[in-house]
Amino acid sequence: MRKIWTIAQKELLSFFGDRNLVVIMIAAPLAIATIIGLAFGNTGGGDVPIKDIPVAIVNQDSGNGQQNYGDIFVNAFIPNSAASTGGTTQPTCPSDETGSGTAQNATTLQDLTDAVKLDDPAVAKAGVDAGTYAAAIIIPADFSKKIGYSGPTDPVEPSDIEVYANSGQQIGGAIIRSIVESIGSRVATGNIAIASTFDAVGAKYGFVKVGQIASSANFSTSIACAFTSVLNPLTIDQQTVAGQKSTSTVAILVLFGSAQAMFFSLFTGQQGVLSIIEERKQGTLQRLVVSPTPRLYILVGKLLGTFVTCFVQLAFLLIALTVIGSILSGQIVQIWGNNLFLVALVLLAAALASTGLGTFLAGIAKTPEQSAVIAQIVNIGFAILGGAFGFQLSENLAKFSPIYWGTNAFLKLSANQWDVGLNILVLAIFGFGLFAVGFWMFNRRLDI
Amino acid sequence: MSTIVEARGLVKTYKRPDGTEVQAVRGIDLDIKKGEVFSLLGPNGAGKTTTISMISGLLAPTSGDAKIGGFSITKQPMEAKRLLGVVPQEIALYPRLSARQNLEFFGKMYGLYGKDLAAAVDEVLDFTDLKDRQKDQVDTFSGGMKRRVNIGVGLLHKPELVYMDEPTVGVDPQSRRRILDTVIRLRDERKMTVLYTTHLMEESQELSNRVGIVDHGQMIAMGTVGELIQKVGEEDRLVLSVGDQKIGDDLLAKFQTVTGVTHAEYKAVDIAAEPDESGTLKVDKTASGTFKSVGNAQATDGKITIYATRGRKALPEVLRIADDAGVEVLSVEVREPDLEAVFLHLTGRELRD
Repeated sequence: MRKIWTIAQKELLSFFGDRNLVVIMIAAPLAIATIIGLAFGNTGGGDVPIKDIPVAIVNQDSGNGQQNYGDIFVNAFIPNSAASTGGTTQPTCPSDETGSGTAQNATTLQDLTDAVKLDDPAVAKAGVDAGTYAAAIIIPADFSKKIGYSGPTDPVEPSDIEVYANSGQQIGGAIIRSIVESIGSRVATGNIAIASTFDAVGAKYGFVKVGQIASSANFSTSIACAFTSVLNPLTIDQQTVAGQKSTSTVAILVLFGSAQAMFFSLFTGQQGVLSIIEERKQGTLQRLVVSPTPRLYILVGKLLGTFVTCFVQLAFLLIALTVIGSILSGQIVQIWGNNLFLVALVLLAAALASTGLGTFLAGIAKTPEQSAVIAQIVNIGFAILGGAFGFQLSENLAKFSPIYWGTNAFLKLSANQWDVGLNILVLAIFGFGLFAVGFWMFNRRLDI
Repeated sequence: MSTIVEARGLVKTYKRPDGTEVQAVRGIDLDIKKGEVFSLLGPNGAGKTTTISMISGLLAPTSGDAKIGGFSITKQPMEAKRLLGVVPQEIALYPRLSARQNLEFFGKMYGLYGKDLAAAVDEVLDFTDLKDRQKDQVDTFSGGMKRRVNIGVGLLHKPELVYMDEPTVGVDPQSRRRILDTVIRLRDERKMTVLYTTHLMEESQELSNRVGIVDHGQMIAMGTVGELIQKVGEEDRLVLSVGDQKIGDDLLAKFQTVTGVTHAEYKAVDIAAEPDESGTLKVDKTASGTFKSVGNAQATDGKITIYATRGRKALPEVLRIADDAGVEVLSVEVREPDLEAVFLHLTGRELRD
């Protein structure tokens, strides 16, 4: 084991000792993601460069008896839309009376989106599939019941608003996902805080009285004004209008950053495995073979080194993108979400996929030159399929690309959606499968 | 002296792309004694490196086996390899790692860790006189310094047997001298056994306790330098360059009348020369070793080789006969019996052919 790790360490030293390679593999994806983020996200004030993202909203929320948070949510995108359907109207909040805040912010969200309210989730999703909408926001029936607070016996629970995005319009989809997640989490966070306060007060003064206050219509409206980011999404965190724009920058940074990181890690994976052939050329492989080190150790050590290099490269890129995102936002932003454990798992799976693909490509090619050409074609093909260049051909085709699964996982984690098990599984199967086939083929071909 | 390397019936066969087979090594037997420098001498492509590659476990023999320190390289490769240090012909180092990092890495591959590793690395850096540059990337080293690190890697684990594959190929005279001195020090100071391959007769003759001569994949002679020279007798060779002058059999017959001369022969090689812009003659050599015409000027490089038991004594008379025959001798070389002569005697070809 020690020898395997020694070989792996040497791979890391060699990789990170090559400044040109590091510049290509680290700086290039960072630069691409940042430039695109700045170009499309617009961090500085001025006009919003991305406008009128077509969105379909389906509100299935049946309310909690006093309030329908789903309607309030919809109103943020389509002002007074709920009134026309007999639902909860947008309450008049103190900030409205001053003529600032909500009106200004609602206009901003309207600038950003071109929302349509629909009744049938299937129709909305079909519209997304057809490319009519960049995303469909589907508010579940129990949305208000879960996140609302009507008294000490009603716990506040998180509720997922489904965002069904069009893989061909990833930027728009990512922005909508980011906004919805931001609003949803703030509603829930606010209500959880209220619930905690009332529970504490109730414990001291009695549950009945507190329950009566909490379940009154006036109180619900007050809560809506005070805590729903829907009504004043940009002031809850004391953010300015520019703050909303930086959200879109971060969303783009997440999307392009993760896609570029995945794309470049494919090259690292391939380069690492091919370095075995390079070592044969420079004679160091022969030197290893004549040492008392089993041949299997040499191969496994090289592949482990490649895997660790891919992981370090991906991790470094994610950290660097976090720093860039924070600088652009003017505050520390965990752009990859709060679940670092899952982020690490996705990183591991992505590094495995890159190493597996690299091993496979090294296995099928007869020479390093052949392998380099095949790798470029395959990697760029995966990048196109997986949306690393900002567009996708088809969602079904995209699923053949590890870049899609990696990017998709990072986007979900960024929105604090933790259902990335399938992504990790697909990446792991992709990596292990190709690794096994490639290892077998490469080992046979490796005529030292 | 006990034996450290025992090779029996080593054969290596390769398949050509057209499916036919070629035998690079054809049943070599070899014994190397502990503490000696053993040279494997032969022209390029003779099978020296293939033979050693099989002994060191780099190539699997098609048939036959070799033992290092009693361990079979095919059946107990790890044990056998622990006793062997390899210094390949080409610089086999990681260019982006420092000299120390290279030594540490390969040291670990031989099972050295911690203090043992640090001590071994320091010792090798001292031995190769590279302590001052130990932290610099190998990429920044001169060719000679790289050679020293290359040798150092092979010595790290204090092997009983060091194999050096033509280590002086392409090096400047100063570095070459340093490498040859290193080989002698390894034997005399560290009591190591050195297996040395070369196509340079002078190196083999200077360094070796014993020499094995390989040609066309076969061991054609083996023994001490003295033993091998005895095979061709004690004859000197007088080599007379005569350029493009015509030499007849009658002149060769006259040379053989000189006391001590046993045989005389003439060999002419056609060369074509064409002066370039600077006035230098350009000569093209074909793959078979002959010179081919590249311009309009034609030349012949003729050499008369006279074998004599006491060459220097016969030389004045030989030159007088040439003069009387009107042959202008352009240069004279007196070659005492050496391994070159042994190879010529055994194969009919020169080592450099």
